[in-house]
Amino acid sequence: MNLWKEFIKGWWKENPVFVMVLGTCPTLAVTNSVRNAIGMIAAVAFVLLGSSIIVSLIRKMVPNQVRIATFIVVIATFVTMADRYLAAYYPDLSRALGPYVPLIVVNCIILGRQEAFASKHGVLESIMDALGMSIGFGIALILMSTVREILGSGTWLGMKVLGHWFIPWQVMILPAGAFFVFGFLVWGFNAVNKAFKG
Amino acid sequence: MKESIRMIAVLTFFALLSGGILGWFNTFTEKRVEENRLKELIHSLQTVTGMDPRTDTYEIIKKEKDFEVYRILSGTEIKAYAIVGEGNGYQDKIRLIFGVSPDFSKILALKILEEKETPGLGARIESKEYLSQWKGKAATGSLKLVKTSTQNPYEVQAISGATISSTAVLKIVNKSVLRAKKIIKEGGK
Repeated sequence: MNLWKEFIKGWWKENPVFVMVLGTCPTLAVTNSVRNAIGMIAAVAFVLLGSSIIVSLIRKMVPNQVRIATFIVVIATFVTMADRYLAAYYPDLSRALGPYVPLIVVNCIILGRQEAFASKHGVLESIMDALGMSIGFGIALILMSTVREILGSGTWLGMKVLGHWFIPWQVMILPAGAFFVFGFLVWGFNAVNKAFKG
Repeated sequence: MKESIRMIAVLTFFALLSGGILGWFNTFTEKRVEENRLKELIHSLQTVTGMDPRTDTYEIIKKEKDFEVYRILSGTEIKAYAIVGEGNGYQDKIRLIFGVSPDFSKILALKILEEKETPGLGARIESKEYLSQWKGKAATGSLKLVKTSTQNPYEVQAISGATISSTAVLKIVNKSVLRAKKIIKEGGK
């Protein structure tokens, strides 16, 4: 029961992107198409799960003063693996995501979960927390990229969904469009959370 | 004292472990990354020079970070040259490749390899309408940009609303043509 709670809290109530407002850099930068978003979600989920397991396993042997440095080494190892894997097997995606895969190292969702959760809990709880947070991150990026790709290019995952009459809103695939959509979604998430609390 | 030794030991241990894992992981991916690069190069050469990978071969004449020249051979006969050039665009570097006939009289085709221009404006340098006009332009290094539609081999039509990107592409082509010509005159036959 407790594990289940750790798993689902990241989906909505503690959504890392819209409620905790962490990891906004990839959220704004790579959501101009659903395909890029999926690549980013997979990379972040892999890194988050891997580092949570390792950090949770080593949490008792790492001295308190060097814990952040050790966590970063663990995270960077997984990020580099993800980056090399994408470059080798998905070269197009790797080029589209550009520097944002290596930048997962400094993604606050990942370091934040290690510091706030994995370094204080057992392996099983940390796995549940990492999976839940990855799903929350996934929900956020899919929502963002769906709105932006449909309005900005008239397509979804590369498939045409709006007819020829539709003139793409160029601004949606530019950085400004990311901020518009992000603002509306943060408002929506928090409005719903507030309504259910009361 | 004891505590600080433990700190150093733990951090060193994890750093070494990380290096070891990544070194091991790299042995799997490195070959694939190199293969991808080669496949992409052959595909680009095919697009800009009409090279047939089954019968034609290519050799590298020059390879620098921002400039490459390839000679496409059909048996011993020179079929074309392919030139990779790089320069500043509106936001970031533009990297492109184009094919040139063996006597350097005309450009065969142009392809953009990398660009980060504005979507909808400068990014239209990747559009078919823009790229197709490059076929048959003079490879003299003195091409000029014009605003109206043109059939003149010494003129290239700019994209409306994207003069900076159009100028950038033109400059890269002109500069690279002259540089390649000089290298081939000196070194290659």
